[in-house]
Amino acid sequence: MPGESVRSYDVVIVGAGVSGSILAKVLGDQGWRVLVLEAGTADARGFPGYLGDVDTYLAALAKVPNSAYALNPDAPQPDVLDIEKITPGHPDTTGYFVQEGPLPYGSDYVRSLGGTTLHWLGTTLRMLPEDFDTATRFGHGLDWPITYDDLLGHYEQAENEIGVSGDVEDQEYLGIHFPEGYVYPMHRIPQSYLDKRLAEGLAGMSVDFQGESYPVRVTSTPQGRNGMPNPAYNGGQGYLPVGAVGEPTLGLRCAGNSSCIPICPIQAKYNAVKTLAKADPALVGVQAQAVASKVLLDASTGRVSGIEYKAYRDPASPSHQTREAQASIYILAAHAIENAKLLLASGIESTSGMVGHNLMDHPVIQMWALMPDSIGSFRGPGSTSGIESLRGGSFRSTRAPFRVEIGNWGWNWSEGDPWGQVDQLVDQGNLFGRALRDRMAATAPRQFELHMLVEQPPDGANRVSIDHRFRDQLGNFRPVIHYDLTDYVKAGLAAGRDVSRLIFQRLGAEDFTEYDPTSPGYVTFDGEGYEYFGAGHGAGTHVMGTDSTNSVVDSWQRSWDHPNLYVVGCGSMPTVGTSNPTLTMAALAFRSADAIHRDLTALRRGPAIDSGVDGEAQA
Amino acid sequence: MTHPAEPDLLERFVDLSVSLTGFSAFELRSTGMAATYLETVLGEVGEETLDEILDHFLRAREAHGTEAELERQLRAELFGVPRLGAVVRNVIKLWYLGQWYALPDDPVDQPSPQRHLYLGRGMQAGRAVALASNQTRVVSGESYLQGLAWRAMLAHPMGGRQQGYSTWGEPPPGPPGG
Repeated sequence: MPGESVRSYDVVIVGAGVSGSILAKVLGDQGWRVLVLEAGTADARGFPGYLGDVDTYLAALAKVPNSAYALNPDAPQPDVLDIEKITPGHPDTTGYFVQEGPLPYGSDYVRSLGGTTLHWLGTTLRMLPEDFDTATRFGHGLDWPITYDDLLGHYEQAENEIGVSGDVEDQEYLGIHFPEGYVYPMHRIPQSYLDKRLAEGLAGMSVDFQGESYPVRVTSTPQGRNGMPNPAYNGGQGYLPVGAVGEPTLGLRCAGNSSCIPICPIQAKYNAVKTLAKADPALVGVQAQAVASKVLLDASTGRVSGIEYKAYRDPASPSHQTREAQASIYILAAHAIENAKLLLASGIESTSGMVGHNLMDHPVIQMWALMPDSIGSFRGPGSTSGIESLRGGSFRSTRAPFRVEIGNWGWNWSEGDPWGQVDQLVDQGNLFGRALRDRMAATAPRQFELHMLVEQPPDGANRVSIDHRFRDQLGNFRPVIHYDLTDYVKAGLAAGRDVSRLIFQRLGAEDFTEYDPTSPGYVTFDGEGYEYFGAGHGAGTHVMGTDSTNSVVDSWQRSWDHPNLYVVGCGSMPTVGTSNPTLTMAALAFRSADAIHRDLTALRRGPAIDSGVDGEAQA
Repeated sequence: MTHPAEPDLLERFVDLSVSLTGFSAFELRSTGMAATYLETVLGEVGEETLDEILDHFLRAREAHGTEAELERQLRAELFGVPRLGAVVRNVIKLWYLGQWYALPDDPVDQPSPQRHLYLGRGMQAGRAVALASNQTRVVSGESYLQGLAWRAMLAHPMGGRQQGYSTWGEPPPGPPGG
């Protein structure tokens, strides 16, 4: 059993999010002994703990994405409530991040067992083939060392593991293709009534970008939440939905709780704990409340010799024990920002010098309007359809592309409704009684939002760094972030706003979009103001490439400089395109699992000294 | 402070709440939150202020003829009165959102000596804390789910009362009768 000898593991994984969980499960299934170190608590390991998180959310004042996940001073995490406008020369240290600016990095993540899949929306779109070589095609960003086709099989593995509901016929646009006969595990999640009305109202619509016409099509969004299994899946073997961890008959199908972000009360939505729970317990050990603090290097060989970590019992208390974990192969899977922070804390900047650089996100711009008639908003998952047809094209040489996410939850995000509406109607509108009730009934069901996720290309100046002045109560570093948006990105925000106006005009929807100059995400472009938010898509801090001078890791996410170190996750992505990155991250994890298995097998056949495998017969 | 000849305090509070919220007494009681909200208000503003509000409400109701006149009376007796108006607006939000909002100035001349019993505990930054009075907070997870705003919106509370698979694709409900 893992745990006795310091050299009894084949693999140590830092982080029990989706990458770490997939790797732990796959490597454990292949017979390797794995230790997963998770910085945060493990509420979701059992259903009662998970329900505690649901309760935290229900009683939270501001129902932001991290509102279900209690503040943990020993493994602090960013919260959107911390975001402030940044004064030049005065870094904002309100929250976990030290935000140098000039613009605030708008995204958060979860440091708990399960990672950010606990609060993600669940969108599982594939990248476009053209997203993989934007430098060559459009003169922006970085080319990947692999192509869409290289990931075909791994996308399928990811869609299987996550449990994706979607229909392939909806997804074959802009070069995305599937092998003949491939279907998703479950049928598309039913589109919302809003989606259907938009599809009708926008039928035949197209927009012109730089003289070329692009169709505006409302398409069902593939998503990682349980729906109706497709009997044709997997050569006719079908698919068994995976329910809640610890309550397997719960959450077998989405029931419309409408709180995907921050937490699905029944776990119909995928979270990484579902994967970790499938790992072989005889081979995979998971230690929560264990914060990796340093990657230890053997100076003479350049190999990683251990992970130093701090184990704490009480999240409120700084007291901890410092320990080391040893293995043959080490995997950092702690999130793009945490991976970079840990590498820098260990003095690992890499030959390329790129560790921490190229920090990316999807800046999101919102627009909101009232449909002429009720569409019954605030029902169902946060989004069941989008407009994907504008994500690619030659205009990308001039401005960033975007995808459109159609929002089912009224003006919940843009105006903080119903709280915003009740406050406004009672305090400014001076309504009460029946008049108040009727006004809400007349307006709220007509509310809808569009969210445009804009591609942000890698920019060396956007980076995570560390500073000895800024540490948490365990003495670990807090991420120091420098972040900005280029004109290329802002032009994408502006184009999104223009398209939204056309959409609202076409629908006869009343546009209520207004951007507030005092808000932290306010930017101007071409004489107009826009407001961006983070999408929760941290990426780029340890990009993959073709050699050690132009990247941190190779296409298997193996460190160029340290052959027994893998650095995995969205941090390896040279570009983020316009798709929510989790599915691609999961595909990359499956791809890395193959490489790690090969490495471990080769080590087992090699000299006994470095193998870390007890009692193996030597070749 | 309750007079034997008058209905009990909870019933008077519900009566007031009917006029403030536009929901029937039956709908209010069916939230299961009436007693909790009464306690919240007592804990925050004290018995004297609540009595004053209920007296003003009674006066407005006895004086009215039509619905429009009642509305005018309520605005004159309650909504337009600086201290009392702030409290009744808070009572509306308590019912609609399950939340107590910090009042701009402490409205209580003489706080109830048992205020601490009414305030209970709440969640701040994910941790249960004993709250000081006059602090914006969600009364409880249940009060959030019982918020009347969701019913006014012809929806369900986000995070609960799931309507079932594929229901979000169906046409929206029409406005409630009456």
